[in-house]
Amino acid sequence: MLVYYDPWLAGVVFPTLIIVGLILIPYIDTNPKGNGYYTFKERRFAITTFLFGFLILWNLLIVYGTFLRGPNWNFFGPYEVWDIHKLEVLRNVNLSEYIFREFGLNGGKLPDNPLIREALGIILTVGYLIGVPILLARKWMKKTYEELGAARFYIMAALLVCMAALPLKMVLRWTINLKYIVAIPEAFFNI
Amino acid sequence: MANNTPEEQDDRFYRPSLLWKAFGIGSVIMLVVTIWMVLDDFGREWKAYQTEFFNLKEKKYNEWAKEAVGELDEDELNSLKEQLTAATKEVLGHEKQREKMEGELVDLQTKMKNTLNDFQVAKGEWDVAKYRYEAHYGHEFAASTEVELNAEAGKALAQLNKELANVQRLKDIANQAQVNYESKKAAIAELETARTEAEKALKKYRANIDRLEVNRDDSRFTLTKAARSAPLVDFANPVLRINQIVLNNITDDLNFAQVKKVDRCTTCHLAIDLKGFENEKQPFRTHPRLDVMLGSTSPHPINQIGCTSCHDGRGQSVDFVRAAHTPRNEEQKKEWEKKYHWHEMHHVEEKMLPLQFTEGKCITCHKQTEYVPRAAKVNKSIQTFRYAGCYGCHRVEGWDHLRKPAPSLEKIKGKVTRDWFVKWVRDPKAFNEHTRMPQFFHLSNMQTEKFSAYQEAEIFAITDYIYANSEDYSPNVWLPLGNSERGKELFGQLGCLGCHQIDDYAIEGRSRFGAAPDLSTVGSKVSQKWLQSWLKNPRHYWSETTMPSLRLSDREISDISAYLLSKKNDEFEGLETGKAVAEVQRDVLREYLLRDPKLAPVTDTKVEDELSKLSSHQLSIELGKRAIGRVGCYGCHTIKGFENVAPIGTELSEAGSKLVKKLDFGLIHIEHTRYDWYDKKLEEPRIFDRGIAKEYLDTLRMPWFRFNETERQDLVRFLMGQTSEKRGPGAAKILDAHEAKAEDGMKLIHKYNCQGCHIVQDLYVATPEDAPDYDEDVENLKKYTLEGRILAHYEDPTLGPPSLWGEGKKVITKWVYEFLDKPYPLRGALKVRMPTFQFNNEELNTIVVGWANAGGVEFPFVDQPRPKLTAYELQEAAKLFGRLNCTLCHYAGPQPTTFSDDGGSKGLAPNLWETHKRLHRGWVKDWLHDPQKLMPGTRMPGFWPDGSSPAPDILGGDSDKQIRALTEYLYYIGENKVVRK
Repeated sequence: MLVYYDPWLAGVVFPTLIIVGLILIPYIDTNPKGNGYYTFKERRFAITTFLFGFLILWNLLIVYGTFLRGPNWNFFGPYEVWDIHKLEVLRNVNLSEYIFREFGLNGGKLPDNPLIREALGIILTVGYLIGVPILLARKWMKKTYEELGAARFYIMAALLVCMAALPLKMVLRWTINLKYIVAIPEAFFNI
Repeated sequence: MANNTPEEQDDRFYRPSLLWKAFGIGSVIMLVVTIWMVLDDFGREWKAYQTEFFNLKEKKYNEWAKEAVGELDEDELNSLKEQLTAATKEVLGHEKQREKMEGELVDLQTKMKNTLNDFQVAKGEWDVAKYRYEAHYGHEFAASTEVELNAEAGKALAQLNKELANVQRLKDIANQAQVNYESKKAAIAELETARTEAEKALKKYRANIDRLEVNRDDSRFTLTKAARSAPLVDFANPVLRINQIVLNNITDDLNFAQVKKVDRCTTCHLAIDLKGFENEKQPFRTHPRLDVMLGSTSPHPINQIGCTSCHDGRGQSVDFVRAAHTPRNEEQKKEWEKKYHWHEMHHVEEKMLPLQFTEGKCITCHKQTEYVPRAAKVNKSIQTFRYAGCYGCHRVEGWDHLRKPAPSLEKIKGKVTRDWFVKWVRDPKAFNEHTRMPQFFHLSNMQTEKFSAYQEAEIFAITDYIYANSEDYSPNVWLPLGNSERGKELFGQLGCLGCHQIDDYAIEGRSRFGAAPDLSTVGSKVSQKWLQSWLKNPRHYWSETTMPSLRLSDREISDISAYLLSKKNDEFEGLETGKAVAEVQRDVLREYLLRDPKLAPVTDTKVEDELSKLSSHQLSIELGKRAIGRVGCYGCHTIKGFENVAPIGTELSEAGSKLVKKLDFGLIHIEHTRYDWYDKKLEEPRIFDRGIAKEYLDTLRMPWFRFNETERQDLVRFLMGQTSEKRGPGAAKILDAHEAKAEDGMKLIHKYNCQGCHIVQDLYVATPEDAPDYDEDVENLKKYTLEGRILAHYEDPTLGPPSLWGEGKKVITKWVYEFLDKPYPLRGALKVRMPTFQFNNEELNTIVVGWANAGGVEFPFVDQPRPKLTAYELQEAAKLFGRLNCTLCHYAGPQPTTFSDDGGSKGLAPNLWETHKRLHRGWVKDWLHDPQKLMPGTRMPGFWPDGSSPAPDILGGDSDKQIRALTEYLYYIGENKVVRK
């Protein structure tokens, strides 16, 4: 996590959320189905989410990080020699830099005011954190919403989007070298 | 859901509603207690002190800032302000131009950043391409010997180079953008130069005030600061916090482990190393003498020495009582009990030392020197311990090199009569109240009739033993008695008072404990022949004496002996000597024999056998031997038959760390602390026998010195420094090679009591008048108690023996060697006489080398080659010599042997013919430059104050040239025997 997020997020907020989330599971998931017998059909969402969090985000990343990450945190395939001279282009770009520098908005000049500079990032982040749960409730997971009730559902949804934030950021880093979505180093606030 | 109450729902053995009430009340109580606990835990006394100190600091800085503002020159300040206004106006004149340029600057900055970004991207990509090329083709080439690249590789390399050219191009662009940006920025700054300069000047002028104001604002206890220190929040970064000093070189002994000392005293003693809080109340008072203790430039900076290394106490505690503060007297104790709810911390060994004993801890680190420079109080303690002769019976680490403190008794038969001896042993203070010989007999624990008789028996027995083992001695001088009045005058003038004291020349604070005996009653002690022989050559009687020869003429000996023999103690002479009772002596010896391991297992018959073998005289001698062994006379005196016997006292090397439970308080009710016990022991050594039934041989043996309160305090202070605390390098004072040699010299100087007449080191440094314990100190430490004791007898100290401060830098080794060997009058008019100490070669060398090393100069001296004096300079220097009137005090020619008493100053200063033999040239120049700096209080005037010359017409009025010429001239007249009058 520390590779993709700032220490205050990766080291403080996320671990806290993980612990709080794990504590909350029995209060959110009150569905008695599956007690005493194995079923996937009746618990598709719950089991998928759990396995994604546990197998992919937990175990798989540990395995990759241990066996496939070599010197300088470079990626090495299995059996590839760990050459300490290996170089990869490490050019990570903030979202705001994409907008103003790469796309030449405002004459290539970054605005001085960080709030204006990072406006898009802030909108996207807030949108993701608030909009996605609402969309889930209204559209994609209507049934679940009805079953759980508003409070349970939104807590669940909030935890879910936070969990999804990690793989999302990983994909963004790999695909478009995104460094920060919101970058306000002036206030040590980077997402 | 049914609407039943829980009771109705189920069968239970308890009533839930009652339980709920109990839980409800319980949780409210729990909440209250928790809040109470948090608040109680939070409200520590040190937090209150720290908050208070914030306010105090703000007040102080505000005062200082105001003072500083008051000291500002109003005109200068106004002129600076006006300059600033003018400059601002000027800058505003081209405001439009500046705005335009700033707009351009922003563009240039963007360009700079973007081009730099482009360059970095390209460079990163090229680095990767390079790596890939090397990884792909490199290994191949490294393995083969082919020089030529194959076509594919060649192509790849060409591509790489092409890309490199692109990277270089981007770099040039980025650099150019940076240059453009910087030059534009400089151009804008140029426009504002006038204002910037004016601002800078004003700021510089106000720098001190700004600093004080910043400090003041930092000291304000704002709401933010309070919030940062609030409960629960204070884990992060509180303003009120515990300060601690961790010492790397000083450790606490935690039984089998030495742990770094941690002192948290500065949590409350917040201004302890800050100047300017000298008059605040505790705990905000500055430590006295920051130049010596705690100051960052002092020899003992706070982060290296901490607090409890000197003060003792529990440094890790931040609670007044639990830190084991100790009141210095009853009055303070009462005050503390009221103010801080103070009580004794029982079972705490490391209680804080009462303030009067703190300086004793200097010794813990300064073990390699006999005295501690500048520590007047502890030096007084060391001196008292030394002069009282405590080390005779009690071994103390670092004191083994000293000779026994009292005279040898090997020839006592030739010195005093047997009657005198008996009366003296019985009660030395009856002979002279100022003698340091303590009283051994008839003390408080020996008052029964039986014990009194036993003691009398022992007194005679000791006398018999000593006289039976004494060699004969025949004095070798016999002169008629001279004029007693003249003798008295000589006694006062020649320097006897450097070591001895006598009632006719009594000064305030006359002590029992000096370097040599009090002579006020010596006439009742020694014979005329012995005294005259002693005065003539003390070593004739006792080869190890430190009493020097004063090269007295026969007439002087006659006069002085007449005077001293007139000093009698009629009362003592009238005392009954008494007689030994053989029966009692037999009884006492029986007691000894009953415990004699040689007779074990002992039976009455065996003892009676032993006793019956002895005649009454033999019995007395045998008893004397055992009595001497018991009371320990041989600790201080050399006595035949006791050469290799260990002294009887307890070793005191760790007296300051001795566990309190190991001290026997007997049945006496005093505070159970080390210092209270030692104080009581010194006051009345036998007191802990009181109320305890003991046999004669089991009674306490320490003699009674009649120490007064000050002396006891001095001695306890000394003992408190004798600790078992480990002080490694970096904490303890470890002498380097030079210092060790200097100390060797000092040891001899102390042995021969040179400091009785001369100021040698800086053993005494006055307490500053603003220090809180100034009055007490001045009372205890009269200036000349540590050094230059004789100077107290002079109204004008410059008429006494000269100061030897900085002697090492001053004198030429060869001369000082010869002078100490055979002294001669250097300042003819001085009445006091440098004695002949009869040093041996080794001693002379040690002193001379020690002095050179103390002066920080190479040994032996290498004098600079002599610059030649031109005829013109010689002539001018001679003129200057006359002009400065040097011969008003100095002789520059043969010195007369007698001096008139007309009060003239001629002869008070050294003969200048001696200069070339005696003095180091560099020193003479420094001396002429500023005599007061080298020897404060000297009579020698400084002729070149502030570098201006007294004779502008000589050598062009150039001070340096004049001093050089005059120095050379002094060497010239000595070598060429030029007489100047």
